[in-house]
Amino acid sequence: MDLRIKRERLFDEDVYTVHPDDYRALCEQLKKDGFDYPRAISSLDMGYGLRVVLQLTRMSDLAKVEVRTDVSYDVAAVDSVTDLWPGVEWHEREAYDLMGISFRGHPDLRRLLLEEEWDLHPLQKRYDTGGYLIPDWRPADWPDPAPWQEPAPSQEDAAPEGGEGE
Amino acid sequence: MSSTIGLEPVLGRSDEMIVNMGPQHPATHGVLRVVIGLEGERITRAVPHIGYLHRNHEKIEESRTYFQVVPFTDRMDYVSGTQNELPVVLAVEDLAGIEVPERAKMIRTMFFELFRIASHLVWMGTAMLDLGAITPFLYTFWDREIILGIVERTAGARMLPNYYTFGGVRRDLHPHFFKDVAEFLDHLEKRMPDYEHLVLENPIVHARTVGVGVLSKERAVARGVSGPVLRASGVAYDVRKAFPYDAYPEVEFEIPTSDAGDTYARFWVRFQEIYQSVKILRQLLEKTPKTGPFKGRAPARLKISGERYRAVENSRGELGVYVVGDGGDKPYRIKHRGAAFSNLQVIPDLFIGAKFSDAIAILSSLDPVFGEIDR
Repeated sequence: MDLRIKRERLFDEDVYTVHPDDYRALCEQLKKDGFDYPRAISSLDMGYGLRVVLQLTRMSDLAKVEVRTDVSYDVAAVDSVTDLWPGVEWHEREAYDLMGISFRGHPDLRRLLLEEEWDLHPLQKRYDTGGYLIPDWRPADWPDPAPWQEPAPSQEDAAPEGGEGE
Repeated sequence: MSSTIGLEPVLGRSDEMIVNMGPQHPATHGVLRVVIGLEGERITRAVPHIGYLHRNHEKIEESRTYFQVVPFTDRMDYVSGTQNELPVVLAVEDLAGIEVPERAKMIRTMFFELFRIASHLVWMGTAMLDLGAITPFLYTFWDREIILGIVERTAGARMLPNYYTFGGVRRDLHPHFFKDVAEFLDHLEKRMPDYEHLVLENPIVHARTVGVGVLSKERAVARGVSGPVLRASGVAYDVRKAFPYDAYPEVEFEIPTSDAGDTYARFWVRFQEIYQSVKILRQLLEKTPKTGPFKGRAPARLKISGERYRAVENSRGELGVYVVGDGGDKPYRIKHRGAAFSNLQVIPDLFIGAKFSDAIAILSSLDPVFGEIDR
């Protein structure tokens, strides 16, 4: 399988940056590799687009991975991984609520913390803490993409170097 | 529209009764609303609603410096004080490369475990209140008061101490700290048999909790629960052992687990954790030097760049934080991974099929704190 992906190692985690279209495929592969414990889904406003950060742990050897994917403000949607890890259900709803990222295929994508009728997403950088949209806010240019790396991670590659677990 | 939210799936069925529990129900430990569908005594549907205490910490913290973020985190899980500060402190120390002296690590760990005991005592009292017993509450809050007094002597505040800082802690220990803690541990060890008698050996507690709200091992892991709830389902995952921080590598303790996965098992695991905390504190009281540095060198203005996820094992489970710095003195983004937040997701799994009266017992065994869930 050819996944558009970049790998790096930060502290004790493997970090995968993936093309949003391949996000779901990479998650399925990680699930097959035994990453069974969802820690969190974070969301970031990068200035040029929105980022989803999924963090997973493998309970058997305590390996940690982080999956990042960037989407533009116009799209602002990725595939849901709730069926792979039911524990991300509220994290995805929170990311939708506060950051405005939609998750395709989520079973119950409603606002989690804020009022249901509201149409703003306060963690976006164009939202001011005073409670209004900054009038002259413009998105930044998309950074030049670094080339996607090959090959895609496999079972052996995904194991952490140096033995993280006990 | 908003009046029917959560009711859509069940409206139109005549054999199902809708009961709205909360948000001001005294047994919801805060402001939780659960819309429950009932068939007779059995729960057929449960839709939790949260957010009544939402303050958007994460947005506020983007406009504060790193030093100002730390006291904000205290306001999340307000019954376990300094435990909230540690993930942010550890993440920033990693990114800024700040060294922490050994003695400061030990002081942090002692406060961490003191607050674990305090939090479990609050849980014990309120869980028994939910089951209809008022007496344990009065005893446990008296004992918790002693811990808060010890914390106040050193840190200056009782519940929201703002005590940890980058590179160590803010002040040195009070001269009476070691004596106070040793006396308290002696006192607590005399009390624990009473608590076991009141709670774990109580036939009414047995009748209300054994076999109620069973969470399987696989479901617990997939749902991302942590802490005593996960360990009561038979998974020996504890951040203190899995990804050790501060002085935990230097102390010996066990991870109590139970395979039952029911409400009673979650009660039992919390009791065993109190014993383990006493064990850790006794070791640290001997190991910690009476004098020495309590804070390493940290710059007065921190400028951070990079991303870091750090987690600690607080009283409720894995409390994590994802800090993103853009090179300035304020965080670009902070995401808090609440332990009780993730644990509360299992409400539908545990409620459906249980009796309505058992829902209260199940909820108290999850030990939610809404300051952290709603943030």
